[in-house]
Amino acid sequence: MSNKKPYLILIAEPIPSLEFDKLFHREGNPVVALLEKPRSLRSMGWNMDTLDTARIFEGKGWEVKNGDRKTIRLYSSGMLTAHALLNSEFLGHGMSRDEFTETPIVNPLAIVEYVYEYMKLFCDIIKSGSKEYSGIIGIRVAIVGSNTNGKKLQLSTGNVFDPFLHLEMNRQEILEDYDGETNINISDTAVIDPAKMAFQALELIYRGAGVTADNIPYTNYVDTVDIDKILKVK
Amino acid sequence: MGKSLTSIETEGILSSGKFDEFIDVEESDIFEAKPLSFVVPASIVTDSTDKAEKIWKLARVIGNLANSKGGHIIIGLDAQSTNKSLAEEVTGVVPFKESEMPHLHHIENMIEKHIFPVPKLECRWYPSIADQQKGLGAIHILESNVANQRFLMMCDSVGEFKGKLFGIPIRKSDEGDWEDVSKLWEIMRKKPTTTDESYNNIMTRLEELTLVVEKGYPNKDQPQQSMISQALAALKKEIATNEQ
Repeated sequence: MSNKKPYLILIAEPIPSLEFDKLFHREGNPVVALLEKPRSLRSMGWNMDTLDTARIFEGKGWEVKNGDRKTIRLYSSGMLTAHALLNSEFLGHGMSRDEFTETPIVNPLAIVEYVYEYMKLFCDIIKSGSKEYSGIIGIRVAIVGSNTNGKKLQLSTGNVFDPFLHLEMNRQEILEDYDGETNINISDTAVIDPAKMAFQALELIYRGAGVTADNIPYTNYVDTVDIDKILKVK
Repeated sequence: MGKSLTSIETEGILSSGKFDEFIDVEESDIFEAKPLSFVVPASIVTDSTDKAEKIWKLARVIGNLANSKGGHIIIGLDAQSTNKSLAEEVTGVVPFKESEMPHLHHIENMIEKHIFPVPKLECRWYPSIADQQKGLGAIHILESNVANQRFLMMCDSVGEFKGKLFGIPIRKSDEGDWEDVSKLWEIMRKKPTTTDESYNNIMTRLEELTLVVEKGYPNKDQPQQSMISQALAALKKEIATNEQ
């Protein structure tokens, strides 16, 4: 039986690269400030906050992390990577490890909110630059270790309080070692929308479980994450 | 929904002269239906900019078929979208005299400013079984036998993209499209698997163009894999190592 932990990997690569002014300076560096104190929808939500102090990572960029739960890195090209645990320690459903071991479901609110917060951080980083940016954002999503403790990790099409969340018809198994990619055109940084970018990334993720885009929870089922639906959750 | 034809079926109808069999045929990834004016732009326009734009469109259709698996542009057919299908279907046959059909070198001369290299084409006129004095034309775009060959389009001053741009026209179902920039980048980084001298000339041209594009790409010395793919592979390895 595999004891590997499941992870969600998100990568956004700007093409052409972003240009930073004094990226490896700490004082007065807006990018470091964003990594250490990212804006969040909800204070205790599934967000990019790690409570960590940013450190230079392998001479290539900055890193913040919260144990194994989540790690965020910004490279000098502007590429932002984030990998986070998909089990009960972070994005997985269930209150305990045993519950998750028994029925490994990804918390639908957690994954949607987390992906949205990732895109918001990425957009904030783009906007922190002094120059207007236009280009293409390469998006890559991957799920590794989805075969956990002999059971396949599952995504749900219901919301987190759905009493039927555990019914098999509302759950779909994720492919082992799935990854997907897409590109997003940005012509004007004034109108980049993290909610729409997040939807495109979520569409890739849910596709790995055979779920169509119009069944992704906490969205408008068309093209954007519905922030109001997330904020209404207490 | 209309019917689709294979290459063999298309050539069969042309050879037989029974052109009514083209009615209701749908455009596809190998079949395009065009009126005569599509290849003889001088016949209907006098404005040089408009004429140049029409020639560019001809080059684009040839390019997207050449970058696919080849195909056929049948000249002398009317086509439009119907309620039943999003793809255009042949709605009429308008045969013309053989003297009105451009020769192969006319077509090549028209498009050579816009597409590089010029794909291998055949141009023929086929008589109608009903009237041997009139018929349809066909531009057959042959599938390239060079591995990884791509036909580039220059878009200097005409077409959808005005400016010093280039792209790879591709075929998606019954319509033309453009290759993603990220895929274009990967193609440019690959070397062809051929010793064909003409293709090596193409690669020299591509390398020149690569220098222009490279300004936007940070790691030009990286081998085949893109930066994002490398980052993903590195993260997967890191996660696997930490699990041990």
